[in-house]
Amino acid sequence: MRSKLVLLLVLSLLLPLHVSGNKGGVGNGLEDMQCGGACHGDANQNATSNLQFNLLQPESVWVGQPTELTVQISGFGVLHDVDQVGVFLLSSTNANGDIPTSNGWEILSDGFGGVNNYIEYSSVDSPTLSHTWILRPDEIGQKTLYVSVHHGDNTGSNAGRPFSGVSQPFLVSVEPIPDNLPRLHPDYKPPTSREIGQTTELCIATIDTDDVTIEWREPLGSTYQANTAQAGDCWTAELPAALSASTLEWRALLDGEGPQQSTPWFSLTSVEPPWEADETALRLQSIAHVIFFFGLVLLVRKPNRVHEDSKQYETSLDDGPDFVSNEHPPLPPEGLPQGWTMEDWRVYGLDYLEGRL
Amino acid sequence: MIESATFHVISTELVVGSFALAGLCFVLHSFVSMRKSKTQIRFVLDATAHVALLFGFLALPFAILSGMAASPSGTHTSPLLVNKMLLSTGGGGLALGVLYARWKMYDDGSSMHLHNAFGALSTACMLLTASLGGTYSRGDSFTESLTYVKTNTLLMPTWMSIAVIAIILAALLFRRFSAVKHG
Repeated sequence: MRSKLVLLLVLSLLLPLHVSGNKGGVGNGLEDMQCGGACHGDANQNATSNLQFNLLQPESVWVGQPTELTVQISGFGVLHDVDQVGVFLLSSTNANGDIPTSNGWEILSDGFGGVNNYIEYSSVDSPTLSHTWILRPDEIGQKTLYVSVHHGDNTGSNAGRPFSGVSQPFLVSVEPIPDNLPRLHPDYKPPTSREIGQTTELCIATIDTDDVTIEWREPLGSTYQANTAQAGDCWTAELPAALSASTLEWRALLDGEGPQQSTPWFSLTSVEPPWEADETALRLQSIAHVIFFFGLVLLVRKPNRVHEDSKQYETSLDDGPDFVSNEHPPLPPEGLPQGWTMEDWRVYGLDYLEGRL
Repeated sequence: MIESATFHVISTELVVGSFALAGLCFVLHSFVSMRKSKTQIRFVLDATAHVALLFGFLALPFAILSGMAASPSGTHTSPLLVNKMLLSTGGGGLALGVLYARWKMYDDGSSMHLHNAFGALSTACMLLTASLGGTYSRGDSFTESLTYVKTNTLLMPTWMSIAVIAIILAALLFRRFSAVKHG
């Protein structure tokens, strides 16, 4: 018995060691590099990813202006047979505090309707994966960015293990804005998501800009122009509603005294309306659950009085006439009541004699 | 200042650890009781189960409240969070009932196994709640196969919750009144 118990305990302790990485992913979010080693599973299980990394950036990166940074990851299907992959854009590899927002960047768009530095692809269909972030630097100078991935592998000697990889540092030179450069206001934040069926009214604040043209397209599709008008401090335009969950891209062409500028293509993701329950009903049902299950435990049990009554009854039997040894109370002179059997008398006879029946 | 999410992790681990210990002791208590009538181990298991359950129950409100505070958009915005809320309050109600019954109504007889079953069921509710938390935060847990709880919830209308509360309270009061009358 004891040996079986020990065996069971040992097996219970060994079981977690055979759980593989986080196959379901963790979802897009703001994640440090540490997550690439630890979120995925036990950091000691990680193998090194052989995927190749590149970071594409525009010729000039102006301080306070949106900048398009495209990450290219190659080697899928060749170096690793991958189903799901998580991609990080990092500003350091300290494994802590290395989200770009901690180092002078603002994330304006992650391309998936959010402002995260970590995004996940549920599948990769081509050898090279490209993904674009829109970032805005808030100070002049040299900045460093890294690309990191974590993923699994379906084949090879390390099949089933989690893989983690990080790129070499990519330098980004942030320059001061030239005089009279038509540009977006440094506080402008483009919308990143909306609900299906909703149109989007853009209100774009600009500086040193005489005219604005808004263009929109489906990803890699034909480009259309939206009607633009100036209203107070901003340029307005309406983007059409989406009929299903999809992504629309738009950009602004800015004209002024300086050379024409075009913003990056901003992604605008249309999603299903968020699920929402009645908060009052939820809280009330929570209280109802506590009371219901509390009551259930008490109500299905026999009340104490039954137990106590039986004790009292047994005590009274001890003090009363000794009919237990005779197996039934003494019969009345007229005999058994009409319709009674001896079995009935054995059980209910005492009550009959004491006038309770 | 400690963040709500961090405090939620701490309080949740207290709740889960305590309830897991309590559940194990409830189950073992029933097993031991079936084999041997009165032994020291029975007493130890019974005491451990209820003390652990009490500790977990005391930590439960902190876990629930910190969990609500840690959810940026509120617990009512995700079926999974709603199910977590309902499961944890259900398990809390069971735990409260078990503790109260042990204090006021304990009967070391036929209802002992039912009592232990309720204790173990409250543990199951808490472990399932914790597992759903894993699904929510990491996208992966032992309950990954339970797709229903991620997308659906059995939310009652307000009037039905009020009716349930009223019926249960009435039943408890009636039983108490009935016990006093005949006791």
